[in-house]
Amino acid sequence: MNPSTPPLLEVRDLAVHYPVRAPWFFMPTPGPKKAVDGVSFSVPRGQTVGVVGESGSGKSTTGKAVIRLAPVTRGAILYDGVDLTGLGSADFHPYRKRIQMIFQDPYNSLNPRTDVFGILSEPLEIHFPAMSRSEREARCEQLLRSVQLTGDDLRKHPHEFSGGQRQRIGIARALAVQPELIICDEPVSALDVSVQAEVVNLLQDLQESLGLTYLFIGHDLAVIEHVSDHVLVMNAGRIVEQGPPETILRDPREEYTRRLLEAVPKF
Amino acid sequence: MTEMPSEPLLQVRDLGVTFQSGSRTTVAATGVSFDLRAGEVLAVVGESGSGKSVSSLALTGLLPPSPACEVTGSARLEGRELIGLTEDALTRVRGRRIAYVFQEPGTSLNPVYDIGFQIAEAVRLHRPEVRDVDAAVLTALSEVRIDDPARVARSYPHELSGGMQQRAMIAMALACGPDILVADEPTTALDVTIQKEIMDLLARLRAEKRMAILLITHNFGIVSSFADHVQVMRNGRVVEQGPTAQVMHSPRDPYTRGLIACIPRLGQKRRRLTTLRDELRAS
Ligand SMILES: Nc1ncnc2c1ncn2[C@@H]1O[C@H](COP(=O)(O)OP(=O)(O)O)[C@@H](O)[C@H]1O
Ligand SMILES: Nc1ncnc2c1ncn2[C@@H]1O[C@H](COP(=O)(O)OP(=O)(O)O)[C@@H](O)[C@H]1O
Ligand SMILES: [Mg+2]
Ligand SMILES: [Mg+2]
Repeated sequence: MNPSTPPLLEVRDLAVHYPVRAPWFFMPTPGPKKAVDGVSFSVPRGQTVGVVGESGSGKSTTGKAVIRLAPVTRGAILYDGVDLTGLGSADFHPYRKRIQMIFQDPYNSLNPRTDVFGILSEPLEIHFPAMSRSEREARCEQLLRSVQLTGDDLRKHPHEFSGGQRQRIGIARALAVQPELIICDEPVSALDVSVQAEVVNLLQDLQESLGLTYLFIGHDLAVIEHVSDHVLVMNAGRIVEQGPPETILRDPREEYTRRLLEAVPKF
Repeated sequence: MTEMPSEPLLQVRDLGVTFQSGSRTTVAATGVSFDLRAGEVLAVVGESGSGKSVSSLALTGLLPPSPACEVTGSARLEGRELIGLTEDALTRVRGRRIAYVFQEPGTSLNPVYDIGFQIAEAVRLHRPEVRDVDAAVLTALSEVRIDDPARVARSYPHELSGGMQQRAMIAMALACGPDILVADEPTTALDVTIQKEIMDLLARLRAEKRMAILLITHNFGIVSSFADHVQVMRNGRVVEQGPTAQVMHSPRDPYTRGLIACIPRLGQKRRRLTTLRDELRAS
């Protein structure tokens, strides 16, 4: 990491607390659920920061807080030097274009009733309202080619594709608005190993050719080691340790990380 | 080796499963053959849709009835043919002789009954000879290393974590005293730490009870630590089978080689992941 250029994303002391309702009205209200509780890290431009931890450790909530899909209780989210937590919704609008997210289950995140053209043009209509329909069609075809699908796939619906192809469509949709940062929430966890390898390679090729920055959430330690320049290990809403994968995943200082590593079957 | 190999518990020969919907025929599995001995773990690996689940479900008639689905070939359990048995006869095989544990314990458990009731029902159905059903329930729960079996027996599925639910499912399978456990991606939905606990548990059960396990998985790490034999499936066919060490370290089939090559491994960071396509092109 070069200390002279500021990171694209810097998260300081982020907390996301969800109110918990009492099971019965006459019972005392329990304390809030601290999904994320005091997390700090930065993501340098053009690099990948990987996030690992057991389920429920707060990985997704951390990613979602950056794009306002989770409420920030405390802390600062500095994007290109601007604190996003203080912005009104109009001022936040451009960041909805600059930051995109892709999810684990591409099927649930794609509208089953519209064809691929509809799925890919929606973000274009929102963020590039001046684009004509024919320009949009050309852009969508180009997007599909960039994720190794073809223009013929534009008229198909999500159910006509395999899991790996649907994840490619999810990636194409994220790329449509030319984002800088993509939050990848377990993008390959539901895929066969053979498809996983292709999607991981695709994400890395796109990073290189488009200069993308990734926050990459996963639970497979080998995948995280492969993609990451820097790794965060989360447990119970906190980062227990962070650093380059060579140190964190080979010689961890924390017992928690060691337990995760030891549980991976070796072959 | 001087020891005579024991008779296989299960002998599957040329098993085939075909689905028919309207004019469309899908051959989901064809020419599947394997032997499974007491106390042995046979892993079945392959990409999704390759026919792993249907071939194991066919053993006890857990597929739609004819003409929607046709099962051909032979599966002999201690010499007795299973394919073509009546539903009545199959009910006595299912659970009692061959039990199943699936990927999503949450969907296999009934949300409206507590765990103890569900295990007790399975015992009453499959082992009517058991007198003290409550004791059988508690024994089964302690066999899966649940520390407080009485409390878990009174719990509802939603009150348990994913790992605990999977233990309860395994306890339910064990309560019926099966000879063969079919574990269909039993840890796919679980964290690595919980996955290790469940796999260690299955390994102990097979050693203590000489239970045979048909382990369906797509995780080669699990295969290499737990299985004695491996069968690799592709598009409904077995492309390679053999002892685990041989298949993992010197696979003969290019497809098997490709599947193994595309898995990223901890501590062996490469610039780029190998894909199945790279590997098949190279061979
Ligand atoms: N909308 C919500 N309301 C209440 N609790 C939530 C909500 N979203 C997540 N949580 C809780 O916050 C914790 C962290 O969740 P999550 O960030 O999804 O974990 P991970 O992605 O690491 O599996 C979990 O205990 C989860 O149940
Ligand atoms: N009930 C069914 N009706 C029609 N086709 C089915 C049915 N169940 C499975 N199949 C088909 O059989 C093939 C093998 O499926 P399956 O054994 O579930 O694969 P695996 O377990 O290896 O992922 C797939 O092509 C699947 O679509
Ligand atoms: Mg998550
Ligand atoms: Mg299956």
